[in-house]
Amino acid sequence: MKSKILKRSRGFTLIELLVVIAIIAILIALLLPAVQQAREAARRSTCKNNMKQLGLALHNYHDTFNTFPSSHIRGIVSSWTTSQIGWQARILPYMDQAPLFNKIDWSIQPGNTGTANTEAMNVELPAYRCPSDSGDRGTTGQTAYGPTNYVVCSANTGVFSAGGTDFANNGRSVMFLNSATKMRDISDGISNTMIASECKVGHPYVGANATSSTVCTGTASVRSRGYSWFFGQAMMAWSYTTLIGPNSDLTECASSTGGPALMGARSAHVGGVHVLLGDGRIRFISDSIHLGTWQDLGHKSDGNVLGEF
Amino acid sequence: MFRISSYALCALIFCTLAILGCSGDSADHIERAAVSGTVTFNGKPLPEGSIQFLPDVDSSGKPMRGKVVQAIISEGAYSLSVEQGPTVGNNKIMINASKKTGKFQNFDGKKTEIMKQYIPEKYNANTTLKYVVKADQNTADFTLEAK
Repeated sequence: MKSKILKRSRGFTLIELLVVIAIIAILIALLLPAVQQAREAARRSTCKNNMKQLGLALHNYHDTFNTFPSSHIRGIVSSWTTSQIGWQARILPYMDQAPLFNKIDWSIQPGNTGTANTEAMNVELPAYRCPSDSGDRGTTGQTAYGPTNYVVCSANTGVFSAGGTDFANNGRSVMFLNSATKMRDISDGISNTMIASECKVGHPYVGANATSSTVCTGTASVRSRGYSWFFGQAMMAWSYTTLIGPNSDLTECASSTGGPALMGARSAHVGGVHVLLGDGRIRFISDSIHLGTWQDLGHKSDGNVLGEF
Repeated sequence: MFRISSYALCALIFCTLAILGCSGDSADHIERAAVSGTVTFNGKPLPEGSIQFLPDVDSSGKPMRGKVVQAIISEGAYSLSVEQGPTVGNNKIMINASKKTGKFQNFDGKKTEIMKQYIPEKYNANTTLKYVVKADQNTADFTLEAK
């Protein structure tokens, strides 16, 4: 009799079973979003690694030529008779892409014409693409070009070529039109200055100059943002300004005439953008960074003490 | 009976802790507020333009975190909801408006008209306008003069 009762109490009651099921259900519910998060986290770290490679390539370029590459090279601003090939083409040998580099004919003016270069610029390099970004050459509408997610900082100005013989953006950023910046020139310190960040391929902008330093008027309908790693024709292909913060809500604009343009750093990651600092470090910068701090970070020799960011 | 309820209690505590631990808001939270108001230029409502709120420094002189937000001014009035609103605290204000110049520029084969700013620089590029955004609802009116 006694043993019979003992046997019966070894089984599960309904409540015990329900509790176990509830615990398992909650654990699965916790795990599923985590799996989705892990995918985005993996894409984000690939993106971060790509930028790290860019940083290393830029340092190797500096070791070889004693200067950082120019963002792109143009002759007289009003004329198109220079190659205008961008910085990402110049660092190809340091990105393990020597065969592609050797293919490029640097004497063609402008560089996006001629058989050799149309072949080269058509190549889409995974190292220049952020896996989180779904934009592609279909989005930009520039189907002859391989797009890029990585753009260099133009500091707090949208003027990338002032006209006449004045090419520079006043030398505020590390890389700009016809620049030859040495590490020595970065007097704010290479660990306090950003060189590059991300852009969202195909992010719409207004095809006109900015009406004032931070305002674009019109409908954002042009989508050639980040359309080419090869051809640094105008701001949409190679640069971003710190006039607006990362992932800004403000409307962007640019024209191919030299500025003033307004194009910010932007990413497909939630909450911020990756930034490549001069010492090769990659930082994830929050959207809510103070605009002044963001501008101090982009300027290579403003002499301002960089606050916490 | 006692044994079962203690199991259930343990499970309940575990689950509560797990949910609390995993759902915590880790991102830095920026408090935003709704704002609306009017803008007049030389005594008349500004027909078209934009107003921007830039987070400034806080009371201790530290740079404030927060995004720059913009509202479109139409017939002298503007408004921003809480979701798109400015950061609570000290803000610098920039007001821009431009008019057509009649000149055109080419872009990708399309002609776009060149616009020119007509609001003085003291209200935008070198702004002296400031506004302290309070929590919830704000009414911020600005009176601009050409001189």
